[in-house]
Amino acid sequence: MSISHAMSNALSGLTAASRMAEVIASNLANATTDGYGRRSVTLSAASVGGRGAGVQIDGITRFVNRGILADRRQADAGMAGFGQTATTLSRLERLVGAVGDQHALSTQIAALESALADAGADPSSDVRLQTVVSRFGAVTESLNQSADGIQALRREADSSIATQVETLNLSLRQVQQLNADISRMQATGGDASALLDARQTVVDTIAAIVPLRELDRGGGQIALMSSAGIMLIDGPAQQFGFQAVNTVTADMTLASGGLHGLTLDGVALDPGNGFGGMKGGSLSAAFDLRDGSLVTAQQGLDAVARDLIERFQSAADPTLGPGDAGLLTDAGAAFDPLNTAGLSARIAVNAAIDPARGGALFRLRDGVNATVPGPVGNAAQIDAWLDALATARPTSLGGAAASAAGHAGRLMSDIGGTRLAAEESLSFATARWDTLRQAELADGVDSDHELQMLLKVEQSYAANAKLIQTVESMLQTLMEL
Amino acid sequence: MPMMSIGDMSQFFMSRRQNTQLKAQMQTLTAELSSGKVADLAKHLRGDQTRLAGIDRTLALLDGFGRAATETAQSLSMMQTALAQVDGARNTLANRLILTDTGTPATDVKANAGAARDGFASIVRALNVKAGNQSLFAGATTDRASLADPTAMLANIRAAVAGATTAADVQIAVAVWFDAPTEGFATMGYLGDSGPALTRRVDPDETLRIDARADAPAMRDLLAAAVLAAVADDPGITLSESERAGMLRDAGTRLMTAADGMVRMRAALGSTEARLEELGAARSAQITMLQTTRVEMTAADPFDTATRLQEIQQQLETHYTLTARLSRLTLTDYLR
Repeated sequence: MSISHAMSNALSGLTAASRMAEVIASNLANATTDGYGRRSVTLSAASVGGRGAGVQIDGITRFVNRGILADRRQADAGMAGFGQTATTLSRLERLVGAVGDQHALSTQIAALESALADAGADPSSDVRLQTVVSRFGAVTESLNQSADGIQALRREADSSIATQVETLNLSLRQVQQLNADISRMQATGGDASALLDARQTVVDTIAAIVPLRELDRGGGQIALMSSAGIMLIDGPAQQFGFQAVNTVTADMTLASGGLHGLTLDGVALDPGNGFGGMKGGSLSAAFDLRDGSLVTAQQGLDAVARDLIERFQSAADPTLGPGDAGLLTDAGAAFDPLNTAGLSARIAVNAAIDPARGGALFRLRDGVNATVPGPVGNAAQIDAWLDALATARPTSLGGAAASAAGHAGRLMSDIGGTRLAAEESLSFATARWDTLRQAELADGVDSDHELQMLLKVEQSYAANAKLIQTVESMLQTLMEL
Repeated sequence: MPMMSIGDMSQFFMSRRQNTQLKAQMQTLTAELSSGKVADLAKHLRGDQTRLAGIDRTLALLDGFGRAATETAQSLSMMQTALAQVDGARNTLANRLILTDTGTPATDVKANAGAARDGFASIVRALNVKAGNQSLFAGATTDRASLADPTAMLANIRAAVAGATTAADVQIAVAVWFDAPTEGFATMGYLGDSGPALTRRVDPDETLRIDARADAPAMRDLLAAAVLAAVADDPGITLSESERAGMLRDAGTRLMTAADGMVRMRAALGSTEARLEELGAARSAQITMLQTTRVEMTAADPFDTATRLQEIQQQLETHYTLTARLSRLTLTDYLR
């Protein structure tokens, strides 16, 4: 009977309108939710036995531009990696000091030279000799603090790797769980959009740690593979392993076995760099810092420390025999060319010239091993110390010959340059991410659009209701016959 | 559904990003304008700060050597004054003694010998001058007086010449006392250091030698001549009055001759002072040049910075106006 057909058509229209209103409400409510994909109701005309049977709700469509999403995830990895590098390197620069800073090594060495020049004008003055001793102390202190700071930064990078691996494992297990949930939901014909949102957010978290590609495995399942080709999850989630250490010292490296790399099922991914195919994101950036840039900075600092110690060896001080510790020592002992790792953390002023540690100031004037004070006005040895600092010689790392302060200045300039390069890379990565992120967000919820739809829904609902009312009055007319 | 819609968050994201960028730029510019220095030195110098480090070191060194040079110049000028006093005493004494001859009465001989003792004492006092607590003519042992007490020194010399019967004996005894390497003047007269001459580094590349010392040969000759006159009336030596007067005259001649050595000594000091002066002028020129270079390398041009700051300010204001307008421009507002 046509009238009841009309009634059921109108009813399906009402249902569709209500469902659309519900989806619009959900869209509007989540207009600012991160990872929320805009949904819409897909409708089609229903027919039963060749006759129109109203409107049919085919399902809920979730709008996601997979291309842009994949690009944005790549940018996520780049930005997270360079971000971590730039932050750490700029902390390193502040730690070591920039040229012109009061606490910077080159400033301290220049202040030492200035104090020596001052003491040379009146070598009999204990006040001036004491100033020289404290300036020597300030130089070694500055080296010690920078070296300790670098190792602290390396330890931070090490524990950051551990945290990231933990997050990675947890997220992969979540993806596995969500894969299963989505399959089940889709099989039963339910709306899996909320689960898809959740999975997208989890994958975003992983994408910052390691750049990845999402592979569609059908049935709502996805597999994840790192850009360099390591399967992170395909069915069951992989379990990555990493062992953090409690303290990091200069002689501990990946090569020496003191620090650890990533493992997959107990097998090291790459014994060379520790991360192998997991490169490109914040995880490999932490490895690069721990085993790369920070180690280079430490080696530079050690070379400056070694250069300083060698400047005050026998050639500069006739009272020193072979094997004697000079004005600057390796933690009180003579310098050993075979033990240079972490030298900058151990460099110290010889106690023989420091009255606070049982030494005597006259040794600055007469040589470190002098037993009796010589003539108090003799500036020859002080001039020799000045010459020792000013002589141009290359460091143990090679390179151009320079004065002690020159080497310190070059080291700081190198650190500043590395930081600058990392910041430039970061600003490119950020610009790329910005563009892609904006494109991704442009596909998100547009409240104007939703409200326009809402007006349409309201109209359609009213029209269907009007139809029911009309059918009702038609039936009424029949009943009154 | 190929229908274009632009997500709300897209516009919000863009405006927030621009806001952050503008504010960060404004903060940098404000800091640069108020401090007058560029905020990121490494960036400003394109990563190479070695030249700046070199300039900073040279400036610190020049500052240290500047103080050293000033002190050395003060010492030199005090030494110059002391030598002038010594030379004055020598001149007065020489002019007095040169007038004695074999006919001079015994009382005048006595008076002249007394004057010679006073002159000797004032020469020794002048050579024991100190700058602060540094003895100036004692070589490297700046903590000791350069010469012993004049009375004690004379007593020693009297003992050395006692028993002499000719003027020549006295002269030889005095010369031996002054020139013996390990006794006499070397141990009981000069108390300072007899090692290498005092050196003072006054410039990164220049060390000055200060030779003037109380045991310099010229100074010893002068002291010996004064001593010869001072012991002329000594009762321990057996000489006739005319021989004593002859000794005085002889001493006067020697004192006259000693002028040469004094002139050379003072000239040497003077040329050191002149060198110091030259170095000082070169140093101030270098400091000025380096400071100018440093400012050029590190300063943020205030005009440039202020212009950019104003530009950013305008941009930020426009941005705020637009944000306010756009946030009102939504369908929701018109549906009420």
